[in-house]
Amino acid sequence: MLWRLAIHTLLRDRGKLIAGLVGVIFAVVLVNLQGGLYLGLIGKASLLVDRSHANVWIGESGMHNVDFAHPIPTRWLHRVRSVPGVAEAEAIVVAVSEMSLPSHGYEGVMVIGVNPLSRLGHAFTLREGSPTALQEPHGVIVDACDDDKLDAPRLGELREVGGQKVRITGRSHGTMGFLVTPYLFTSRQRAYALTQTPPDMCSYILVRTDRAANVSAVCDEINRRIPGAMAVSADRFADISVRYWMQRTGLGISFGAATLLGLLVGLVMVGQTLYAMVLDRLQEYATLKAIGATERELLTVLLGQSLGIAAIGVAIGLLVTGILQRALDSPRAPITISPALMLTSASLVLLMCIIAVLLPYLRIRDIDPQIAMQA
Amino acid sequence: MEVPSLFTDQPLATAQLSPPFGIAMPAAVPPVLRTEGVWKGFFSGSQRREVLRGIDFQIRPGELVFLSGPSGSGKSTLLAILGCLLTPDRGRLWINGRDADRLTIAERAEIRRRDIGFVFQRFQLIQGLSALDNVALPLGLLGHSPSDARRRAADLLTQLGLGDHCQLRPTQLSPGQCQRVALGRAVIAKPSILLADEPTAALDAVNGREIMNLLRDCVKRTNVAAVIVTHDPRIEAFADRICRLEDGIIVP
Repeated sequence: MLWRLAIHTLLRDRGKLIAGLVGVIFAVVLVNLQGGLYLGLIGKASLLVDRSHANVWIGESGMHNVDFAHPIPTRWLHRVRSVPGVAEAEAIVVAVSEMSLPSHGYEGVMVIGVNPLSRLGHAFTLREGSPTALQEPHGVIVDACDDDKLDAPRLGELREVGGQKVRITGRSHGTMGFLVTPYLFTSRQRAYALTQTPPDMCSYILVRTDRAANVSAVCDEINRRIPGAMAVSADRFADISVRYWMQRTGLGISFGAATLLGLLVGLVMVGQTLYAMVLDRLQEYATLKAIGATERELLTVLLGQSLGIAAIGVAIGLLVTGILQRALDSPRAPITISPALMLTSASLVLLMCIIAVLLPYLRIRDIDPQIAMQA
Repeated sequence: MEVPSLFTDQPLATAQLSPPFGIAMPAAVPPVLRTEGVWKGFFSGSQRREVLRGIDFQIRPGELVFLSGPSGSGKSTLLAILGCLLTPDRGRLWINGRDADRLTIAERAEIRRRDIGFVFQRFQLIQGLSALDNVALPLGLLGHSPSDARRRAADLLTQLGLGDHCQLRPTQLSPGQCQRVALGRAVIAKPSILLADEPTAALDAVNGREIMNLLRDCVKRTNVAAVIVTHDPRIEAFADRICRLEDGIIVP
């Protein structure tokens, strides 16, 4: 009966209900978009790892970010291949260079040199060009999303990278890292020339283990056999790369603050709505007290109203979030909204609505039931 | 004029009602409500004014007692004390034999919920609820299931002549209908005490008489003790006993 009272009273005052809903919807949308942007952005920080088709990454001990590689000896590759459980291993090069632009300028690029005959390290999704693009003479793959930075290189176009001739033999879509520097995929041998990296060095060794192999055990064995090397699972290295940006840039704090702000605005709007509804109904609350309703029961009414606002607001908020995500999501600013994020936002908003009850509840506690007798 | 009879199928004719005065309750029946030497005062600025000055009052089950008197004589204050809405500064109050002087807020709420039904001058119905839910509300507070509470409320509203108005909200009802709904809310939980504050003040003569008929019918059939604050001389004939207050004292 109290829930019925709560919901009917809430629905009767549509103006205030809408004001409260706006607060909840605002909070839900902001939390989801901020969270989605955050997840999308930090996802970019580990893009090379996540899409590498490898489950073990080996680099110099103390490696902390996939984009900032330190050279390691390529000869380690042979020792890695001899470790039990290793099905496939390839060396890759990750190094910075510059591409000449038709407009006579230069643009920094992150050259990723991989074995064209292996899937390891192929983090791109080819949209234009042959699957053997990296095997073609001078062949490189650029991403269509970097067209504005690279002056829209067309398939077959010749450019210069690091003073060397390259040909655009493939174009991918959506391979964008955390850095503003575009990724450029090529063969490892060509990458040496484009980045002036000594041919006996590489940046990482990528490993695909046997299905039955224990990844952790393989890493331990590699670390034991190669002093100075650091072998970690791909998931672990992705985590290390994400943490690097979170801790060094304060990214988490920035997005967290914006999310908190959204929740605060929602809190104030829902609290204000409920408070105004209580003020409008002082006589009714006094009457309820007069006929024997306890403060706990009146709190139940308030909570019912607050949770009603939360339920409707979360539903509409998630719908609006979905629409905005479709409209705004792009490889440059990906919005990754997972079910866990939606659940978290709903829980936070629910908590916010429960807290918003506090002020109106204090007002209700002060209501003298005797005012029900005042005409 | 015939009006529906509460808790029975038989209509109750106004002419059949008992005479308003002279109903003597058996002395053996203990009072359901009793005060002894109740004082209550309020500050008006820095000036303290004693509104009630040593009130001794009691009412037995089945009695319909009017509190009358001029404005400011303390009728409503006494009613609020009898209804556990106010606490006396001095004196004692017993409700169903229980000393109600030193109860906590929660205990007073419990007494109001179980033992007392209120009818207010301005009805004080919950605007967001239908007539049915307004009447069912006290049963909900007492822990009845919503379906049971609403079924009983529907039966009572039918007895009150509002069977076709169950789903209407207070704004869709006339003042007379609102007061009948308010009466239904007051009696549905079968309280032992019914307190009404100027129940006919907002009604015209016809509706006022109808409400008083229903009230009196309820008192006589359910044995509830009813205290009604009024200064409406048109309804004095319904009272078993009239207590007149002047300057905070019950005058003979």
